[in-house]
Amino acid sequence: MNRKGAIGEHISVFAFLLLLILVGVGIVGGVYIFYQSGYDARMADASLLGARARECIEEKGIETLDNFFEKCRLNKEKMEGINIIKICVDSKDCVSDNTGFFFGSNFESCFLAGGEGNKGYSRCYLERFEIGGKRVDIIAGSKRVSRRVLG
Amino acid sequence: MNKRGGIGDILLDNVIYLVLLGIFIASITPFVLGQMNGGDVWADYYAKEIAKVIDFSKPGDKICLDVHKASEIAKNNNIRSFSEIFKIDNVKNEICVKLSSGRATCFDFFNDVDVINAGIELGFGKDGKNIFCFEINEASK
Repeated sequence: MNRKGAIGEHISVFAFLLLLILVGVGIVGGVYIFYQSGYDARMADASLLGARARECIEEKGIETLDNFFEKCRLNKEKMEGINIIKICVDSKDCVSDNTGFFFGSNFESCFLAGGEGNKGYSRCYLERFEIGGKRVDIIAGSKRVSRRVLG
Repeated sequence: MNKRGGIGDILLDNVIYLVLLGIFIASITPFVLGQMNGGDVWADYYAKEIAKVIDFSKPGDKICLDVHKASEIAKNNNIRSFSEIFKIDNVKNEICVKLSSGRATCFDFFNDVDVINAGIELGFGKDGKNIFCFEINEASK
């Protein structure tokens, strides 16, 4: 019985398996990266929030800020940590002015050019209009992303 | 020098390699084809677009959206029932879209409303397209 090279032959099968695994990981990884990024809906979410706030204020008046979420039919729990909104009345610099109504923080990061591609940052929308002779600025931001679940 | 069984050994080696390669191709192909039809990409798209529509709607609205593409993808990906494709949870304020078997994409909406009577209507859209209809109600929670 010739046993010469028997171990070597098995090793070559393992090497082939390893090669297949590496190729498989490469294909799965490449496909995953290419198809899974999704599209960025943060700006759309932020502009919707800004538009909803404007519509609500125009319909119900500035007094609505006393009980903003209930009066404007916005779910505060779903916005916590995801959406930010600041509403300033006759303010010179709404971004740094903390005297009006605001929900969330870090409004300064809204307009950082470097934050646009970073999903950890909010994309923000600025809405400006007049009501009753007063200028209203709304800064609405969102960093909402979708999530994949098993099921 | 022992040459007995040489051809048999070469054949066996090649058969092992071919079997391994076959298993590899058989396992990787469904994944790649599944991704190529864009199930996850379209699920992400539909979840976000429907959430946007819900966010800008008011109680009393009745909304119908063309979801023909989604129903085609779901059918190709062996989703058993069209009722599995879109699921709206009014407690969590989220919409989940399932176009690939085993996983769904979910997106939250901030509008504090209830979505009721949601369902796919087959062939009721323009040119016989499938549509997804739902109604918006005041939040009950």
